[in-house]
Amino acid sequence: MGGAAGALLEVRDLHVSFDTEAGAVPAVRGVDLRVQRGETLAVVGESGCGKSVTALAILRLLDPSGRIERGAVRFDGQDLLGLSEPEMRALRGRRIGMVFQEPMTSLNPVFTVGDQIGEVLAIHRGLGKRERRAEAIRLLEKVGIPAAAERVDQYPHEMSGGMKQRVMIAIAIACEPEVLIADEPTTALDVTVQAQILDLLRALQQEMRMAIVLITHNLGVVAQFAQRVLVMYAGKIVERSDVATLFREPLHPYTRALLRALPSRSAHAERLVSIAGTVPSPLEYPPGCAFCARCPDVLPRCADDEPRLEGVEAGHAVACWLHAGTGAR
Amino acid sequence: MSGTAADRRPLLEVRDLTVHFPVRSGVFSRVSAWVRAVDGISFDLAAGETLGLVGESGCGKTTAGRAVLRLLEPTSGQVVFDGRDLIRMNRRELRATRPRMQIVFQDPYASLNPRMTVGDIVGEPLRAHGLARGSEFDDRVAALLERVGLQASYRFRYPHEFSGGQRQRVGIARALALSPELIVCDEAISALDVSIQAQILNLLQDLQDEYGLSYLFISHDLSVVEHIADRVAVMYLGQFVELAPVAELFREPQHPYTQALMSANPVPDPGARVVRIPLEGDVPTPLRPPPGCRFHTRCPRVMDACRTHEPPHIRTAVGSSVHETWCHLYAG
Repeated sequence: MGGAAGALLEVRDLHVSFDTEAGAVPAVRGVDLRVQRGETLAVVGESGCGKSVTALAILRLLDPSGRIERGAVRFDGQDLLGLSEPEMRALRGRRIGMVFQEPMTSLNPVFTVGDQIGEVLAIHRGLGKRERRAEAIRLLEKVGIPAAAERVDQYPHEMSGGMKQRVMIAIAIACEPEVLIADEPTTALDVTVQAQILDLLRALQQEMRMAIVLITHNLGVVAQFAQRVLVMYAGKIVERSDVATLFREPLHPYTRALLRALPSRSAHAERLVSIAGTVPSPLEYPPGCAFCARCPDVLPRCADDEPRLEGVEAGHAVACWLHAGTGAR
Repeated sequence: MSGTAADRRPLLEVRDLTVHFPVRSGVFSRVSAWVRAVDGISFDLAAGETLGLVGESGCGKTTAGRAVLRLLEPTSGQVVFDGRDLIRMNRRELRATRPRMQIVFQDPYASLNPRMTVGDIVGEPLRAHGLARGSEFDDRVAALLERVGLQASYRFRYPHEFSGGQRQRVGIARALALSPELIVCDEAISALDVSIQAQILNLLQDLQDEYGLSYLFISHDLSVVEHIADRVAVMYLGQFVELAPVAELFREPQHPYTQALMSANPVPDPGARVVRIPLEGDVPTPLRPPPGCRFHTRCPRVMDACRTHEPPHIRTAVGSSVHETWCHLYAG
């Protein structure tokens, strides 16, 4: 916990579940996170770990079957979960920007990109028609789209994937948001385009002192782009660290296994250390640690007794019985 | 593996392979243009060897993989498999050769028939080629499933009951059913989570060691290719820009495109200071590839010759292998 001083966005004990035919399925089970102005926090994990659901819950964009069971989301001192939908809408896209994975499906195919950027400018900044067009061109230039004055009148299908993602970023930064929530923003893109987009986000962040919450499965992107990182598994945070420490000295057996499974971190043709088995179904989470069935270092108490996220040194916390009681707090 | 294999005749010799797709338009569907998806690539693949084929979307790597198996008809060129040109084979000869070459697809969700049991999916090639029936069929299917790390009892289940990694194992078991010598892996692990990727990569390596398989390993992921391939070809707009033994390519990439690609690959090491070689703009359309070197419109080291003249094919000996680059920078 600790004081909230300085945290621009703070999530406390977030629980989200989804209604399914099999009953309520827990997707996020007690997530805490804090982001300061100007910093990048990465949330990393594999499919189904709850990282995207966490992002959507913060934005209050869960689909109707999803429900925030409990927890708090505070942005600049305001409780987001207590806001009305119109109040939330006034915040989204203005002070909190968002970029999602699929630029192909996030843009409306029947409007020009200029119209779509203009919509945000009309709603949140009240600009007139001519001002909107000029501002849209300026934003397209800012995100590195060449011939912006012509591109502004194009439709999404006339653009490549990288261009569309730049348009999405132009929309997201149109109102100079204080925090940008980016869910796999480069996953659908080629590596050279990914590099361009990450460079662009970094430059915009420095210029605008924007905080970024980066949701990703790609540990390479985490290493190159974020300052701090949360590792999620089965709806919970299993490790929290600054990036350098996490890659140098991962503590949770899941984090360690994940890093060892990366082909680039082992010698050519050497057998990779894979993680046996698969992620448990949310319907079958054990009462204890959800990783226990796959953990190489499992202890007798792990299956029944749930480890809490505990600090082991400044800025580094892990939820694991192997490290319980070793820390300062 | 590849060292000894290099002495013999390669299993696969691809020469000037070209695949052009017609673009039809107008009332009479006249061919108005050609998409030059693959435009003259040549390579060898030895028995027991893995050739990585890397490049970004639209570079033609998937089309190349399919043309090599003649799953789509090449426009021109040769694909010599074990001494015989597949392109000139008639249907009967092709059918007789097909069991020796297989493919594993990217999407384990789309590439398995949801209405068939896993046993029927894996056994279908055996049935289609009339190779096993009755209890022998069941035994072969059970052995294949166990070989890829699945329980034999899974053969009665349907694909939707399995995770992505398990489905990819089913796809690999199906590819193995006819004891092939060549498997084209087309982004075979790209849709999987990191921990599952490692399992499947290990499986592919074990199978190669055991059966002496050759892989044409198509991927956009440089780290994966660096790990598994013996040699790597880098493709851009339908052509190779560079082809070299894996360690050599990653230590000393020569082509500016290869260098840019490598510098863009995010290394999972926060201490690594990568000097990014930024590329401007997008890949041009394969409908009208740029003249001269196809990369010249984005190349940070472009020279006058690049805009008008096809790049020279530079070959440098590296041990018993060769480092090939198609680039004006290394001419003369």
